[in-house]
Amino acid sequence: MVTLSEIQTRMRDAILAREEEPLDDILGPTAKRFEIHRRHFISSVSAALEKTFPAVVSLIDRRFFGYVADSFIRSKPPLSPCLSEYGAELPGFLAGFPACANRPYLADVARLEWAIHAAYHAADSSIGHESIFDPSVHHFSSRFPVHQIWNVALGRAEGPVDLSAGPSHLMIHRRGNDVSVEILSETEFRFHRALVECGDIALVAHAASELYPGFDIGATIGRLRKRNVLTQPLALGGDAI
Amino acid sequence: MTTLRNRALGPGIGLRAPHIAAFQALRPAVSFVEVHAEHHLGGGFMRRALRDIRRDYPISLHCVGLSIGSTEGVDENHLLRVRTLADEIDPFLISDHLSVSKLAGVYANDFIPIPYSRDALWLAARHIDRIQECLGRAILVENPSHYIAYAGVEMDEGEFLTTLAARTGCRILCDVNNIYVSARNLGRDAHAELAQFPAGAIGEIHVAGHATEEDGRLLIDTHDRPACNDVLALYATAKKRFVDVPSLFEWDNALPGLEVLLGEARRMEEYHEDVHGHA
Repeated sequence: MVTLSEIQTRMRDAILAREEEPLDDILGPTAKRFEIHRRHFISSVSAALEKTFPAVVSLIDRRFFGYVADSFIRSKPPLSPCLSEYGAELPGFLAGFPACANRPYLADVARLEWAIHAAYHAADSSIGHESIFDPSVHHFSSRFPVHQIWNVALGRAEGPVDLSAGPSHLMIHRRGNDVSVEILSETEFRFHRALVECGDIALVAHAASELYPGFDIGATIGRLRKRNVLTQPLALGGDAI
Repeated sequence: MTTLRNRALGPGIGLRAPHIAAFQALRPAVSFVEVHAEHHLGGGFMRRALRDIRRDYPISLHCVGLSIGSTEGVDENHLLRVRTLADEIDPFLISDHLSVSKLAGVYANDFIPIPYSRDALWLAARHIDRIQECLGRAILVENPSHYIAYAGVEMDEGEFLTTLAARTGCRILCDVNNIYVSARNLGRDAHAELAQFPAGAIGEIHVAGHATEEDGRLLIDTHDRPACNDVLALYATAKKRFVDVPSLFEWDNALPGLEVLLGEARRMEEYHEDVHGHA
C-alpha cells in the first residue's frame, strides 16, 4: 500500500517532471487528470514571475521568458507559500543560463527588478532589523547602465542604450505606495554600503573623509534623511546630523 | 474577536490586489471582505490597505498555504506570520483548504485533494489542532475541487468533513462551485454531495465560476468568470440549508472591473431570493 508520504513525494516529482509521470497505481483511471495540477503549477508560478520581472519579459519576449521560467521553476521550485517571495534566485539562474548568454546585462536587470519587488513587499516594522536603513532599502550595483536598460525595456525611455555607459550604482526603496530607484555616485554608493555593513556612523565617516577627501558626508546624510530611509537619527561627533 | 454584524448587506467579496484602490475609493456596501492572507503578510501598500479596509469592514482571512494535508507537517514560520497578521487585523473568520499545497517540500500553488482515508483524516486533524492552537480559534476548512480520484478511499467527502469537524472543532467552508466541479468531474450528483455536508458545522459559503473543457466532460475551477446557473442553484440550496451563514463571491483570474464583481455578488443573492424568497 502506498503511504501518504509516498503519494506526495511522487506527486511532487510529477509536477516537476517535463514528461508525464505514471500515477495510475494511486489515481486509477483519473491519473491522466493529474495533468491539470501539473499544468497549473507551471503556468501560475510562471505568471507570478512575469509580474515580478516585466522588464526581463520585455527584453527576451514573453514566449522565450516562458521557456526560461519553465526551466527555472523546475530547477528551483518555490518552497514558500508566499509566491510574492519567489524569484530571488532568478537573476543568478539567468546569469548561468546558456540561452541568455548573448544578453550579459539580463541578470542585472533581473536583480534590479527583484530589488524593486522586494522593496514593495518589505516589512513596515524595523523590529529585529538592525540596519541603519529602512527594511525596504536595497543597494545594487552593475557594470552595465542597468537603470537605463530597465527604463527602455519598460517603454519609459528611448533606446538604444550604450552598454559601455556603465557602471551604475542604485538605491531602491519604498516611498509611499511606490518604489523609488535612485542613481548614486560610486562614492555615495560605497558610503551607503559601508553604513549597511559597519553600522557605526563615526567610523564610516572617518574612513570616508580619509579615502574620499572631496566627499560631502553631511550632504549625503541630509539626502538620506530627506528620503526617509533611515531607521535612526545618524549622529556624528555627538550631534544628530 | 469581531463578528459579522452587517449581514443585511448581502454576500461578501474576495478582494484581490488590482481591486484594492478602487474598493478603498468606492467603499461599496458589502457585508464583509475576504482576502488571501498570503498576499498581505509583507508590509507596504498591501498591509496598509488591509488595515484601512478593516476600519469599515469585517475581514475574513482566507489562507492558501497552510497545507493542512501535507505529510511534512505545518510550516511553523508561515503559521506564525498568519498569526501576526490575524492579531493585527482581528478577522471574523480564518480559513484554508482541505488539501495539499506543499508536496514534499515544494509549494505547488494549488489545492491538491488528499485521499479520504483514516490516515489522512488523522493527519489533517493533527494539523488543524496545531493551527487552531497557534491561532487561538477555530478555523474553517474548505472542500477543494477534484479532478482526480484516489484508489482505495475509505469515506466520501461529506463523511470526512463531518468527522474532521467533530474531532477538531473546526468549521467547514462549503464551496458550492467546488462541489459542482468535483461532482461533474467524478460522475456524481452535486446536490447529493451537498446534502452530505454537516449543516451544523458550516461557517461560510463560497461561490465562483469555472471553465468547461473536453466538450463538458471536464470542469476546471478557474475563478475567472461568473458562476453558472447550476452553481447558483446549488448555492440557493446551500443557503436555505445553512441558515445565517455568510457567503461570498470569488473572482481570482482575468479580473473584471470591481463593479462587475460586486454585480456578481448581488446576482447570486438575487438568485437565492428568487428561488426561496427574502429571508
